[in-house]
Amino acid sequence: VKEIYRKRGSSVRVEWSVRGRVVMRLSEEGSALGERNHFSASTARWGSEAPGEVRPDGIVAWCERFAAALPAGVAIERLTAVEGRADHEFESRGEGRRWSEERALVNATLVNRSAQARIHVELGGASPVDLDDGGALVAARLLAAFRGARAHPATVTLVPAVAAPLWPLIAEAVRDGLCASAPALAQRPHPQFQCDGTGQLIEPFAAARGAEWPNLFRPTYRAPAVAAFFHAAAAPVEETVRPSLEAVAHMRPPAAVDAALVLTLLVHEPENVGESRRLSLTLPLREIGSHLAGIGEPDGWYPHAAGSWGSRAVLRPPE
Amino acid sequence: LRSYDSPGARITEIGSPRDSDPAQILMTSRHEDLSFFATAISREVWRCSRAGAEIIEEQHEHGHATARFAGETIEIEASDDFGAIPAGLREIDGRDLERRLLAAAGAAGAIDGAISAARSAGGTLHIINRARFVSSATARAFDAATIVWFSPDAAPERSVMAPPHLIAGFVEKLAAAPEPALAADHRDYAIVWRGGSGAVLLHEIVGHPSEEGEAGEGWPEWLEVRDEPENGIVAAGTDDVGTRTGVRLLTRGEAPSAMRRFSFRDVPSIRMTNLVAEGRQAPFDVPDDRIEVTLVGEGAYDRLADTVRISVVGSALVRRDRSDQLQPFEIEAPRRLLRDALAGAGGRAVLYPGVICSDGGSRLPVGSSAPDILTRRLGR
Repeated sequence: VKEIYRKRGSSVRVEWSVRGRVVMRLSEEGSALGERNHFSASTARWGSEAPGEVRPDGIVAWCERFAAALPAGVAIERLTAVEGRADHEFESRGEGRRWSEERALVNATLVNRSAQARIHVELGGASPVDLDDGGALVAARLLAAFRGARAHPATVTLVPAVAAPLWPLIAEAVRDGLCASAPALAQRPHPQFQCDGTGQLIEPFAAARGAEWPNLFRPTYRAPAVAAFFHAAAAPVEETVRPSLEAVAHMRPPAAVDAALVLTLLVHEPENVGESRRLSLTLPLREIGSHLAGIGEPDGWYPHAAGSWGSRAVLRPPE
Repeated sequence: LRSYDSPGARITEIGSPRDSDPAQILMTSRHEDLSFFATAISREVWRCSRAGAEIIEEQHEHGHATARFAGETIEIEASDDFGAIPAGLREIDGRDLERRLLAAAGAAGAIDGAISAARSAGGTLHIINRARFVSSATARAFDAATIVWFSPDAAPERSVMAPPHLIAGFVEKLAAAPEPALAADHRDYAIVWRGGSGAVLLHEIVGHPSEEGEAGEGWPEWLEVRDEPENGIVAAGTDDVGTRTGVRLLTRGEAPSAMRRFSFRDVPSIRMTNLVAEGRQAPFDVPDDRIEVTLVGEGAYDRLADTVRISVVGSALVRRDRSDQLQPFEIEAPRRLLRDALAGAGGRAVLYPGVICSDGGSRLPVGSSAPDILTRRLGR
């Protein structure tokens, strides 16, 4: 089956690091052809009217505000912020779809150099106005207070931004049959990011063993689309334990390694925001459901994998 | 087209800066703070097996970027429309430049030998051609280069990268390597870095810190690590913002001279181009018991913790006359510990088959050459 995809986009990207600052305005158009075992993509004009140009003001101002709000002792190691608009077309089997999208994304690492500590920040929305940095700034203040201490494993509340990247990892483990118990995870449509990489609507879909993801993710026209679990959300679970710590950021990107979820978290005692510690946890994916002792309602969308909804969650460490 | 070879290099230079060609414009005094950069890049992915070879992916992209340097901020306007060169640069004939770039990117180096070797070994071959034009107030270049990268099906992490005329030899050597069998703790052994692989170690412990101006002091007197952009596998004497490049002594605290970017949509930053290590009067006695490293999967430098991680995917444990291939292992250590473990170098620098260096999402090939290097046992 021959599939044709076209994309035309306009974006502003800010790259901020210890080496300086770059503001790039980019406009590009391209098309891709997928056929059996062959994929080709190229720069190409496709005629119709271009999406409106993105002005740099919004995303640059967001970055400047965010940098100015960081506490003393915390610096931006690297920050990439993008605001973009894109028009898409997809044709297959004589049918065509068109859709448009606007997005603002931030990916950053913040550092406390004296404590040799780093946290990861990812935010996303339809425009810079949607980039709620409140949680990131709380985490930054706790990073400033970090002195290198380690926390003993204890029951911990994950704020939504910390729980969000776990859902796509657990969904893949569920699909691969690695989990005997797991939270109920499903695609939860996003009101603005409604379409996948072929223009198909993203519908609710539950993660299950052996499931084939129904939607295709295509972050660029230059690479083939891949099946992905979009806008991962965890079903609420009533809280059964009282946590003694709160995790506000990941100090290393969470990863699924050897059938376990490996987390390094910046945590604090809820009543004590003047001190923070590092909590390292390795949670077997097989019993991951038994380690999640509470999940709240979805609260905020994050750009992890093909999208993920954050929710407050309570994590119980292994005995 | 004019092409020339230097050790490990194959660069095709197109035209001459003196040509009265619209695409050979040197930025005038009106544009002193501007740099114009354009690329055409074609990539092919080939699946290769004894049964045959077929292209499974092709990508062609081209575009231009005009950068304005304003203190610590660089403002870049980038587009893939050559009919839309920014106002103020009207002297550049975009359509003509587009045609010339596409022609140059379409003229790949001969890859028949690479495909034949890849078929025997079984794996995926990536062929990447890049043509670029760069012009600033002080320098300009119009050139093209091809790099080829091979990942074997049996162990994709054991990949090799080289210019087309060298890749077949590397692929054949890779296919002939015995299967790993033994596990050992690298901290218990001295390591001899063979086949230029020591360049990867030095890339991480000297090269990346030097990009930040933080290579530090205390390097052995016998060791000189240089960045030599003009003699590399992909670059010429002008970097990707239109500045003349030069040799820099990284072990003397100098930073690489080149600002690099691969595509017009990448952001330029100071990066190594071609790392060359040299050992002066530092021969070493090969320890009876040692690990001999020949292939590195990947490496990383963490600036914050000042640590280095290197994943070794091709090595052998040699005990007197016996040699056993080792399973892949990781070296993760403070940079100073690795620096202090440098114990000697022997032989002439040889080209290591490939470093594709990723930094902030921008992937660049970096030439890497080193003699055999001995590092002492790190201890537990």
